[in-house]
Amino acid sequence: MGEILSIQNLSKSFGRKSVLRDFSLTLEKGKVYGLLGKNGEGKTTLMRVIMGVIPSDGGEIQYKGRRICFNDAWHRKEIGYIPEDSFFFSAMRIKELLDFNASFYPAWDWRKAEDYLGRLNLDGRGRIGQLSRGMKLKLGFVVALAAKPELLFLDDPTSGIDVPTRQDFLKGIVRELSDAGTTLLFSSHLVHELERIVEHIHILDGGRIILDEEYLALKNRTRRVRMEFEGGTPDSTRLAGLLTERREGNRIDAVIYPWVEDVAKAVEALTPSRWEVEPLSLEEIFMSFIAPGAKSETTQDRGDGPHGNGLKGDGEGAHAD
Amino acid sequence: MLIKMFLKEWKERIPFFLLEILLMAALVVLRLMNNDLLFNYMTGMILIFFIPFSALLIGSSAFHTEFKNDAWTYLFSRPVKKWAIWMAKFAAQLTVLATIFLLFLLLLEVLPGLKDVVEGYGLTSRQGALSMFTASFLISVAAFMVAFSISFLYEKQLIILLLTIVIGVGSAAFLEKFLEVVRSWYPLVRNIKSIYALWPLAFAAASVRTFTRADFSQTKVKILSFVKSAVVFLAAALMASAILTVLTLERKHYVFQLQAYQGESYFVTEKKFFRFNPDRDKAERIGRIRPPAEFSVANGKIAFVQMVRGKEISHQYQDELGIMNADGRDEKILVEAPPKDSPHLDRHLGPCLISPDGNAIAYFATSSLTRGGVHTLWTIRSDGTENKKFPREFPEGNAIEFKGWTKSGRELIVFWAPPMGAAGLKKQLLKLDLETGECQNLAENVFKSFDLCLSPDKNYLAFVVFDEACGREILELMNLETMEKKEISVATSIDRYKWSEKGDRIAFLEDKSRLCVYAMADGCVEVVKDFMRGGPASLAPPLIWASEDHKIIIGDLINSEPVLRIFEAIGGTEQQVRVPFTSRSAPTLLALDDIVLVRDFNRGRMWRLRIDTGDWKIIL
Repeated sequence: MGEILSIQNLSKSFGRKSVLRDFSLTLEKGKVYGLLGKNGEGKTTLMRVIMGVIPSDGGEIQYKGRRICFNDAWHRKEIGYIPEDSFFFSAMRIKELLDFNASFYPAWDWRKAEDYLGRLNLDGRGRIGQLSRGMKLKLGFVVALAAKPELLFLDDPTSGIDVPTRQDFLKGIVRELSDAGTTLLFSSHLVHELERIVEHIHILDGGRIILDEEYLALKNRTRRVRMEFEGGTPDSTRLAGLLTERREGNRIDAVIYPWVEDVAKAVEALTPSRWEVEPLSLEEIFMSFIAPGAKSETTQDRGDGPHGNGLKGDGEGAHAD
Repeated sequence: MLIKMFLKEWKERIPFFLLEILLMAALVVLRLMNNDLLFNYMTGMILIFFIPFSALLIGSSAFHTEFKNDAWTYLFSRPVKKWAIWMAKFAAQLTVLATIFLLFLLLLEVLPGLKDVVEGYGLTSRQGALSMFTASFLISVAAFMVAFSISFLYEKQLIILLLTIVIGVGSAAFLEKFLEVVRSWYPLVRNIKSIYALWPLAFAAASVRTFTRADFSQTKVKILSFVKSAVVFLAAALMASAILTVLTLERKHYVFQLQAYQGESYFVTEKKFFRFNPDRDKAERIGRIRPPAEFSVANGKIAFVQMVRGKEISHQYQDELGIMNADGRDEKILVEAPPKDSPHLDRHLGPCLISPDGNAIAYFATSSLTRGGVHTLWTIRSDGTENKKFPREFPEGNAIEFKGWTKSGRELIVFWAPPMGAAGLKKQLLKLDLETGECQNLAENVFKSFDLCLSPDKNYLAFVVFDEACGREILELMNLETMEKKEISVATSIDRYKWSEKGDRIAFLEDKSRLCVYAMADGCVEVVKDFMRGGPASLAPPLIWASEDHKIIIGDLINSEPVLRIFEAIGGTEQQVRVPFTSRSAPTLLALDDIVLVRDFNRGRMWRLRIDTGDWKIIL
C-alpha cells in the first residue's frame, strides 16, 4: 500500500500555546487510522490544518506525494472532513445543500447520497435550521461520503449520535469505506468504539505523536503485569518499557510496552510470590500512554516490527513528560 | 461551483431587493398623487440615504451567515480556493447593488419628472458638481467595498456597520487633508483624485490578503493581519496615486499664462515656454521653465520668474528671475535662487513686469506667511545691474498686481488688496514713482482688478470702483497726465472692460448680459447687444476684441457646452461658434487679429480658431 499523506515537522500555535510541535505523521492508502489524544492535544487542529481551514506555522504536508500549500484546493476534492460539530447554512434545505456540494466534487455520487439519506433517516426536503445536532452530524456524513473521498478525516463525529446509528455507522459505513479503499483517520473520545474498526493507532500528546503502531501489534505487545510480594515490594522494579506502575500494599500493577521475553525474565528476577500477565483494552492502553507518570525506555527504531517499538520520543523518555 | 455560490449569495439578499422595490413603488405612488414636494424629497432620500445605507448593509452582512451558522470550517474545507470564495461573494453582492441601481435607472426612464429631479444620469450636474445619481453610486460603491472588506473580521454586524462609517468619515477627512497638503506643495496636482478610487480598492486588497492567509480561529490575529495589510495597501494606494499624477502630468500641458505681443502669442505650460506665430500656424517651444512660471513680454524680450531648488538650502525650492529674447535665445538669470544671506531668502518672487522698452524689470518678493507675508517691490535692469528695492513695503494682502508701466517708464501702476477683514484698509490703485519712491493713491474701493487696464497708449486707466452708498459699480476712466476721472457707466455689475487694440474704445459687460462699448471720441456708451447668457449667473464670461477691432468675442456656456459668441462691434450681429471640447466653464481666450486662441485647461490643450473660416486646430 502506498503512502497517501505525509506530514513533516508541522507546527501550530495559538498565541503562546503551542499545540503541534514538529509533528510528523504518515498515512498509508486504504488503512483505518485511530488518532487518540486528550482534549486540546491538537487532533482537531491537525485536521483543520490539513484541510486548509487554518494555516500552520511551519512544516510540510504532502498528499499523494505532492506538497499542499495553505491556499491550495486541489487536494480537497479527494479528501473528506467530518468535523466534531457540522455547521451548515441554516436557511438551506438538505437537498439544496447536497446540490451546493455536488458542484464542488467531481466524484459526487447522487445515488450514494440518496442511499445515505435513507439509511440515516434524513428527509431531503427538511430545513437544516430545524435539524438537531445529531441530525446535522448525520448530514455531515452524507455530505462527506457522497463525494467519494479517498481520504476521510473523522473528528470525533459519533459522540452526538444515538447508539443504534453509531453501531450501524461503525459496523456498516466505515467498513464499507474501508473496503472501498478509502483511508480513514478517525479521532474519537469513545476509544472503545475505535477498537472494532482501527488498524493503526496514533497517540498524540504534548503536540507530538508519541505512539505510531499497528493496532493488533499494540494490543499484543502491551501487557499489564500483576505482581504480589510476600516480604514487601521492591523500591524500584526497573522494568524495561514500563508505562505505568501502581502500588497497593504488597501488590504492584505495571503496564509494559513492549512486552517481550526479556521483560518477563526481569519480572521473574524481582521474585514476586505470584505474578500474572493480562492484555489491556485500547482505552486502558491509551490511558497508560498518556498517564502523567507514564515512563518507558526509549526504544525507538529498535527494528522489532514495522514501526520499531512504535514509541516516538526525543530524549530519554518515551514521550515528552 | 462558483455559480452556485453566486446564486446562494443572491438568494440571501432578496430582502434588500424587496426593500428597494418598495421604496421605488412609493415614488410611483407619489408621482401618481402629483405630490411634487414629497416626490422630490423621497427621490433625494432614496439616492442619498436609502441606497447607500443598503450598500452598507449588504457589505457589512457579507459573511453574516458564516458567522451565524459557524460555517467557516465547512466553507473553507470545500475544494475551492479562498480567494474564489471572496470573489464569488464580492461579485454576487456587488451585482446586487448594481441591480438596485439598474432598477432605479429603469425608473428614471419610465417615471415622468424623475429625471429632472436627479438631473439625468450624467456624471455631473448642471452646476458642474457630481450629479445626485453619480454621487449616490460612488458613495454606495465605496461604502459597500469598505464594509465588505472588513465584514469577515468580526461577527457583530452592527460593529462592522459603525466601523465602516468611522472608516469612511475618517478616510474622507484624511484624504481631504492629504490633498490639501499636496496641493499646497504643488498646485498643479489634479489627478491625485485617483486616490478616491484607489482607497476603497486598498481596503479590498487588504481584505483578500487577510482572507486567504489569516487564521480564522483567532479573531485578534485575523484583525491584526488585516490592519497590517490595510496599512501597506493604503500606503501603496497613495503612492500609486502620486505616480499616476506624475505620469499624467508628463503627458499633459497645463497652459497657465497667455499673453499677446506684436501679433504673436506667448504662453507657458508647467514645463515649457511656447510662442504661437499665426503665419506659421504652430506653437514653437522657445525654452524650458520650471513652475510656477510667470512672465512678461516687451520689446523683443521676456522676463520670467521660475522655481528652482535652492543652491545652498538644498531641501527648499526658491524662485529666480531671468530674461531672454523673445525667440528663447540668450537666457540669463538676473536674480539667482538666493543663498542664505540673500534678502530674497524664503521669499516668493513674482509677478514680474518688463518695461515697454525692455530695459528694466519690476518684480515683487513676498516673504512666507510665517515671516509676515510682506510684499516688497524691486526693480532691476535687464543686464542684471541696479537691483533696487522700492522704499514702501506692502503688508500681507490678498493680492498685489502690476497693472503696467506709465508712458514715462518711471512709474508703475499697482493694485493692492488688503487682507480679508483688515479694518480701515481698502483696495487701492497706486502709482509708484520708482525714482522718488513716492506712492500716490489713485483710487480706493477698486473692484475686479483682473480686468483693470491701461490704454494701449498708456494715457488712460480704466477701472471699476464700488460705490458703497448706492451699492453699484462704476466704470471710471482716468487721464494719467491730468489725473482727471470720468464716470463711464454705473450698473449693478460691470465686468470684462477691455480696450480695443487701437485704444479708441472700451468694451464691457453691464450686469453680465449687456455688451456695451464706450467710444473715447464721442464720450458716450452704446449698447451693442442685450443677450441671454447660458453660463453660471455669478461668473462673468471672458471678453476680447478681434479682427482689427471689428468684432467682440465672448466665451459662454450654452446648454452646458462652451461656445464663442462673436458680435459685430457695430450693430451687434451675433454669430455662435461651438468650441470643439467640453468644459464646465467658459474658456480662456486670446485674439491675434482674425485668430482666436482658446485654452482647454482640463485636457491641457490649446486650440486655434480662424474667425473667417471657422477652422479649428490644436496647436498644443
